[in-house]
Amino acid sequence: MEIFALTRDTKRLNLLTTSVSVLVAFLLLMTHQYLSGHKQMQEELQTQAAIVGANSVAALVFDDGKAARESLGTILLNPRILGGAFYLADGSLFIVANDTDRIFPDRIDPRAQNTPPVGKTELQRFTGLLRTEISQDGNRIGSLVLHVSHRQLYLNLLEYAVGLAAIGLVALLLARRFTAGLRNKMALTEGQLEQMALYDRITGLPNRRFFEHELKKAMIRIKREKENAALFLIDVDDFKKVNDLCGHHAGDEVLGMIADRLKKSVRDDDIIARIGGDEFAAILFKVGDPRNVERVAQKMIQAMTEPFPTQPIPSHVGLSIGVTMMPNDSEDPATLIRWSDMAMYAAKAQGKNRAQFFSEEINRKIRNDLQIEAGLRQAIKDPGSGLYVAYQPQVCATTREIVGVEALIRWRQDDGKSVSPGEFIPVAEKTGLIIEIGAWLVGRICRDLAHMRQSGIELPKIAINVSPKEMTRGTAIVGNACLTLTGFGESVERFQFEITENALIDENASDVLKAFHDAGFTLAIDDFGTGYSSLGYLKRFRVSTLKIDQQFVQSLPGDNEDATIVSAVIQMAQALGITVVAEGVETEAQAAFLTEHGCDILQGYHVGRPMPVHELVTFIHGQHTT
Amino acid sequence: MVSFRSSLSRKACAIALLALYLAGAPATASAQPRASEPALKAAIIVNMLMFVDWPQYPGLISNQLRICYLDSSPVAEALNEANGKSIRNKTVQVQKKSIDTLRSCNAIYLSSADQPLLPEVLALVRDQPVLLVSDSPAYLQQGTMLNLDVAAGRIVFDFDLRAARQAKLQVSSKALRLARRIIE
Repeated sequence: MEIFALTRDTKRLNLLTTSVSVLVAFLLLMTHQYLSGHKQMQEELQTQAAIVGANSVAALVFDDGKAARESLGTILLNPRILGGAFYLADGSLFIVANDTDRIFPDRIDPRAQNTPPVGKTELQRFTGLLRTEISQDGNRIGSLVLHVSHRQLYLNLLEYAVGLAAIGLVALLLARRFTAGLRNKMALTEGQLEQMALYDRITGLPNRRFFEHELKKAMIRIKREKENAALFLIDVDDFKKVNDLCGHHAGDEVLGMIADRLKKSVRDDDIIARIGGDEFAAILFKVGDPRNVERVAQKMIQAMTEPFPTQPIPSHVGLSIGVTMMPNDSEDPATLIRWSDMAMYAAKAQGKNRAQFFSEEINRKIRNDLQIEAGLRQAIKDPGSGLYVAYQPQVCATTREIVGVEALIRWRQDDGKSVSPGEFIPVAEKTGLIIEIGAWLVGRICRDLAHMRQSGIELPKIAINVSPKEMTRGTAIVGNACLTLTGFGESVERFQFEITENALIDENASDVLKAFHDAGFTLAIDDFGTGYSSLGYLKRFRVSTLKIDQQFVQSLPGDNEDATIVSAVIQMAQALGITVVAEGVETEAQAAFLTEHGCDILQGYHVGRPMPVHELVTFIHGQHTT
Repeated sequence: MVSFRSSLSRKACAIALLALYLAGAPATASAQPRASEPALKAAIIVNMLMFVDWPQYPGLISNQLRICYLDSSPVAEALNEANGKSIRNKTVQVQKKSIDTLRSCNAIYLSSADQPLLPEVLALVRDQPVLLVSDSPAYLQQGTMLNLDVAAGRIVFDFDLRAARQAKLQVSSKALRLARRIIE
């Protein structure tokens, strides 16, 4: 496995180091052995030569060749000595023995004492000349030159080397034998480590690290083979619920089962990995047409429809899949992962349990969302910023006098461009910024009220929208609002909070709604008729106002069905003592119809557009004068 | 013991003598192509000093080796050449002495002409550590210890060890080995 190439190289390097050290030790031992052997041999020969020399003094002095030859003969018994020659004190040759190769020169330099002369002819291999001086009581008598053989020394060295090698081999074999068990265990552990480093323990799939490595490899391969491939980022929908309901152990088992089902949906060559808590990734090779990719994604999603056998109840999950194509979308693995991720979030945003191909649109949208988020954060921090409140007047249907306003958040950026709430509210909700915006909103309204008070205007009612996301924060939202209002000295009775019908259904909402009520705020149902509420909720949550969604008002008075609905709603509300507000009143005809049928309050462009506070002041003053 | 000569004997001997002189002084006279018999004999006598040990004796100076002779003779002339040379870290002194002044000698050379004085000399040096050297045939029987002779073109020497022992002189076996004849 290439990913461990570095470890293998380290091992090889260690082996090399050990081998080199053993070799060096061997060489050093051999060198030492040679040097000491050589020294020993030299000493031995010198001693023998000295003895013979001493014995031959008289022969040399008295020119007795026979005696000298006898002495020389004894030393030639030594197998290491091949031949010898006596030289007189002046360097001339006296006696020579065994000089078949004719190496002993006729003269030697008498002054070069103990330095062997150069041979007359070339010496045999592994032989050399040795010279000893002969003297008696301080008088130099002559020299003895010996032709010696080093063969035995080299044979000894060879024997020694072979011996060392043999011993080394035996030691190695024994050591290996004894450590075999340990080494096997090591290998096993290393294998396990490798496994742990690369594979996810719970599912047995490759882990994130391994996957990233495989992705890089895949990119190289497809570029080289000119194939294409697809990258999936798969997020398991609602996996948290499985853990919460059945416990983490069951959750792990479910992950394992998900992994198996995913693997069955792809080919053997394809790669499935677990890269996060409930996140998987897949690389599909040689996919050809994107439609094949779509098919595989659907196969995966389909595989999840069958429930997982968990206790106490079976679990259901879905998959949100983000898809990028390689190399079409990008050749950079990091970019591919990022874009698949974006596509996956898009899939989630669109309702989960689906696959979404990455497109430039998604990229642009996500980038845009990020920009909006950044801008919003900045705007909230900066009081004099582009965030402001627009107020849409609500008038009494009969008197057409202003009875209240709906406060709507607006955002004009530094460059003058307005960002519509439709664009930034979803971003705020997704990022949780909506909470801060809600808090900011209350404060800003209070400031505007103070401003209007200075112009002599007291608004009877201010309606504020509450998003479902804010509701999830719990009763804190109520507490914060009360705090702000008290801080500004405003009374809670004038404030009305508008929530959508669907918010009523959410079980968590009931606590918050009760808190609103207990604090003294009134509640209004926004966009009534578009959601899932039951009429029972209206009573349960003591709703004080109902706002008929504009889709019903649009077609008034012509459309009979809508007319009937509107009329019915008004009657019902009146019967329950609930105020009715009609939204989206744009024509006088609509206004007339509504007034005729008992609607209490009108809101819409016909009445007045949402306007910033100073425009509202003008509007109200204008009303009073007419 | 009889030793065989090598064919280079004469030349070798001359060179040995030359080497001896060279060992003593760096600048010496050039060697003669052919050494004379007295010169060779003198060389042997002087060389022999290397192989003889003298005991302590009043009159003998420890760092000298005194060779004395009575009358001039060819060999005595040759012996003079060795005067001052270093043998065994001792200086060789060659002196002519009369029979009256014959004392403190390590060795005395008696030539054939000294025949009449032989008994007197023998009596004088009896039991003293003096090496009596001669080169006359009968002298060995008459009491000298080392006698040189010529045989087959070579200078050879004979030893009378009894006489040497009597004079408390030690002769190295190295030299004895090369002697022609040893009387014990």
